[in-house]
Amino acid sequence: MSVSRKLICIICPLGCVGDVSMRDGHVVQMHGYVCERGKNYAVAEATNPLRMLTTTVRVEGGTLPLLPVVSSAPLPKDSVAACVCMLADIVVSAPVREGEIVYPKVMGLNVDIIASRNLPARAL
Amino acid sequence: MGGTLKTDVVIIGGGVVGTAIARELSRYNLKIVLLERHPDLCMGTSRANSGILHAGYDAVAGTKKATLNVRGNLLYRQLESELGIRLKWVGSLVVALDHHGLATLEELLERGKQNGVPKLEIVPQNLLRTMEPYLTPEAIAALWAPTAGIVSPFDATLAFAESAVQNGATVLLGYEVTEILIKDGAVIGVTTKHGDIRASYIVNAAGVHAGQVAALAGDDSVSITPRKGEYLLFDTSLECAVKSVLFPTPTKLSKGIVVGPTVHGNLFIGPNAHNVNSPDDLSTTASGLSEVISGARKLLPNISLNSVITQFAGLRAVAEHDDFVIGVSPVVRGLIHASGIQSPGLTAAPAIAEVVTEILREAGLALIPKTNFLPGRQQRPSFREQDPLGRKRLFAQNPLHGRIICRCETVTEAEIVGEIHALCPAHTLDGLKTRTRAGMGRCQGGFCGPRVSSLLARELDVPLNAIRKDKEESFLYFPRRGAELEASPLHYDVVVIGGGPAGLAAGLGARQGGAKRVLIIERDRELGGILNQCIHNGFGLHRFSQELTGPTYAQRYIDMVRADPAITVVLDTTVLKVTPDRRVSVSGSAHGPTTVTAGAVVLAMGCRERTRGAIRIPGDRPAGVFTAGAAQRMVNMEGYLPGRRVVVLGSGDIGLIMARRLTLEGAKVLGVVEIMPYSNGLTRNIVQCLEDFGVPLYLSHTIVDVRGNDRVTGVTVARVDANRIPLPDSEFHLDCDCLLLSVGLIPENELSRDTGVRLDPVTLGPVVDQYRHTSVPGVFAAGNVLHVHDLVDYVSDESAIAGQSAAAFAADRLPTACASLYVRAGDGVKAVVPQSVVIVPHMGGTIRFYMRAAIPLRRCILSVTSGGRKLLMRKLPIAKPSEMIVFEIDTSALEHAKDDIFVSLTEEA
Repeated sequence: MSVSRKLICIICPLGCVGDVSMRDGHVVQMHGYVCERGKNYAVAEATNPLRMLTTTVRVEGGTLPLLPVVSSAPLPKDSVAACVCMLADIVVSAPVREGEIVYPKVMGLNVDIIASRNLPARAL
Repeated sequence: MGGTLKTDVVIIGGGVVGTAIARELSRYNLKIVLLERHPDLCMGTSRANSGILHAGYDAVAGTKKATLNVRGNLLYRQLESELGIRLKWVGSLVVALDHHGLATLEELLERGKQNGVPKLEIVPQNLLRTMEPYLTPEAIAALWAPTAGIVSPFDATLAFAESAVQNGATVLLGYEVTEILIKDGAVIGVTTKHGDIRASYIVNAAGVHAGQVAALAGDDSVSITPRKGEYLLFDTSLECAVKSVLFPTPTKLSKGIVVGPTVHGNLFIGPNAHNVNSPDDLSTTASGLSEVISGARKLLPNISLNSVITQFAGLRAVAEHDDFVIGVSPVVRGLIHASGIQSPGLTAAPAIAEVVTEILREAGLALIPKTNFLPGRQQRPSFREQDPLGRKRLFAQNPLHGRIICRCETVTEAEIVGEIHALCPAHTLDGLKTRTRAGMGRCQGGFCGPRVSSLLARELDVPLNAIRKDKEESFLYFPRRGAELEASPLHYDVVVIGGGPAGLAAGLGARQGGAKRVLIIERDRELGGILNQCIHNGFGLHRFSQELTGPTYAQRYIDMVRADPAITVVLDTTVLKVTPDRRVSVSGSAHGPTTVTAGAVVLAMGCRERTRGAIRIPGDRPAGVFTAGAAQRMVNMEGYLPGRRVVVLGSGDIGLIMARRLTLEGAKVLGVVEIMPYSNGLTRNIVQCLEDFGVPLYLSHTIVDVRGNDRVTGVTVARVDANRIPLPDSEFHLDCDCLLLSVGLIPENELSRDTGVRLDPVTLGPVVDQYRHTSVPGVFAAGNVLHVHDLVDYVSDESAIAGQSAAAFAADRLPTACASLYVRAGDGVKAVVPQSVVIVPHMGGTIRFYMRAAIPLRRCILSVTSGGRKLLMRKLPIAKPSEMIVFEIDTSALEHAKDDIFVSLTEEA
């Protein structure tokens, strides 16, 4: 028994709306995508959807109260919300450099959380 | 000024007498001009004296001195509150050391009673002990005059002057009178080196120079002998040894050497009294000072000289018969003397002013009282005298209060700058010293002198060698050898307005284009602009071939800018005006209002969000309605949520991004409402911000009502018809506490408009050519101020072009146009940027155009033509208004073009 899903391709402005049929976690049939890139996207999105994570963490002693952070690589779509929730409790100390790892191997994944900007320490 | 000024009354002399007269006359509908030969007021006798408000028992009854002293003393009681003059009613004691002196006290007491001085009494020895514990034990009694006081003579003079100016009088500094003009036995004016001033009445209040002034009118009735008095001043840290003013019993020449407090808590001793030849002799002498010291020690035997901070001398203007000379000239009509004003002149000044006014009335001057006379004066809170909360308050009013310039007396930059720009401004070092006390303390200006000088130079826009101590030629510093330092505005090859992505790229572009000095002006606390709050990723695929977050994209540009020492960045600074000749007026927390000049200017101010008012959503006006960008800053930079149950109106990218962000932060996003039948955001954002989280997108819907008293409690949503009119029976309610608006961006062009830059009615940004040159020569524009972009990468590209072109313009290397072609938006096209192409010799390369479709189209043809000739024809699988279309035209195809360029989008047949 296969399950069919509508998936909009986000690769180019065309935004093809295609149908993807799945059985046992595998794509068995799809139509509506006009190019190879679209087809590849649809397979990936149907079988292992990944998302970049961006959020903020608290900063102590910085010129700003929050530090924006980004995941070093995309992570499974379903774990994004839980990771963001967990990172809400993280506090880092200023100064921080862009690219610095502020939280390694988030939720046991092979993905680090890194600072997406410099944040200098506050003097007074 | 070279011309002739006409006025009713000229007052010669800016001491306490002249200014008091000016103030008194300013009660009437008169034109008054006060002339002072020095660069500041209060430079003669008023500057160096004992600062005592005498009770009035000294002068012989019936003299002008006696009556005007008592009257003046009374008037100061009113002036104290009216003008806020610094004074203290400390009382005075005339101390008798022997029985001879005791007899003098009796005489003074009697004289005081005749003169109408209240509350005089002779205090016996035992009571004196408790009144003045440090007084010599040899004192046997003293005459106590509780109505005597002390005053800051500078403050009194400036208060009178400021009040006069506030009421319409004119004070001219550096105006020495060289001639008095007379016709038919009456004065008609004066001559100064700056020109003539016509007036039928002249008041001679020239102090020790009054005789010379009278002589200019051929009047030898005034003869003034300068009588010098020397003083020593002690530091405030000296436990002030006296509470009231102590006099010895007087001699014929003077009241003797006094020991007294100043209003600022110093102790002073002096003056002696010696006639001198020159009216400018203010030198102190060794013998004079020891005379002062030994005189003071007769009253205060234990006084220590360790705390002396300075010594000075003043000149009394002594008239022939010892009394004040106040009255009309016996020689010339219209000339009134207020001369021979020695002690108690400071006390008598306001009373002298009354008398002079009456003399002028009798002499025929029409005195019509003003109905709008302002008796008061603007008060200046001193930082030093505030409690901690008061200091915070002063700082909040003016951040220059945060910088202490004079450590000894705790004087702030705000106080000094305030006096430089006051109604009666201080433009000399001593002028600032007397007004603010900067330099009056223990170090006597050793620390703050250079700093105060620099502030003067900065505020007056002059080089430091133009700064004077006090007098006309009292210049303090000489320029060093070598190149002259200029005080003219700083010049930059390219000034970039805005430090967001456009400004950063334009600054770097200007450097690539050869600019040697570049200034980037940013109004926020840091560079990076709106990217700093766009913490999501997706930036930089074109520019850096990888997807970066907004802050990271900004950081890369910030790092490049910061690594280039030829680019100067100023933060917290707002540009107020750009003139067509490229003078850029700015104001910032660190610099205050100032101006720079620019070889070329790049406008990179970005855009702002369209608001609720702009799209006219009806309903209540509760808290909880935000534009999406404002909410984004709150969430991503401050750490606060705009709501917990959120509806987003408008499907622009910021709204979609915020729907995801708020969901991840734990809020519930109930839906995104879009009036158009298609979304205005990128497909990727529809998928990853809405579909990923099951947020509904209501296309062809709008919000017809907002409800709530304190916070938003809900919104009413309705479907719209093809003409975007809401259909009433389609209404439904969403229970929310927050409405976010993502309904469009507007280029921020108020500054551009002020400069005279022509704007495009469709893009709402400047009209530019391919160099991003606006209609004002030397003014360029790039980024969202030019037209709203959806990709920062394009902003960077475009801004680099603007920066390079600006640098070329500044170096006079921007090619001169042979012709200019308009770029017109044809069928299916909303707008194209640049709006014109200038044809120059040897153009080379391609020109990149950015355009937006008017409506969504599938399978369409983009066609660019000029005079029927095809320049470009391209098939597009899709065209959406929300996604900018980029195309390039080879310049070789343009070199011979003569007709406007038409851009159109048509569906394939």
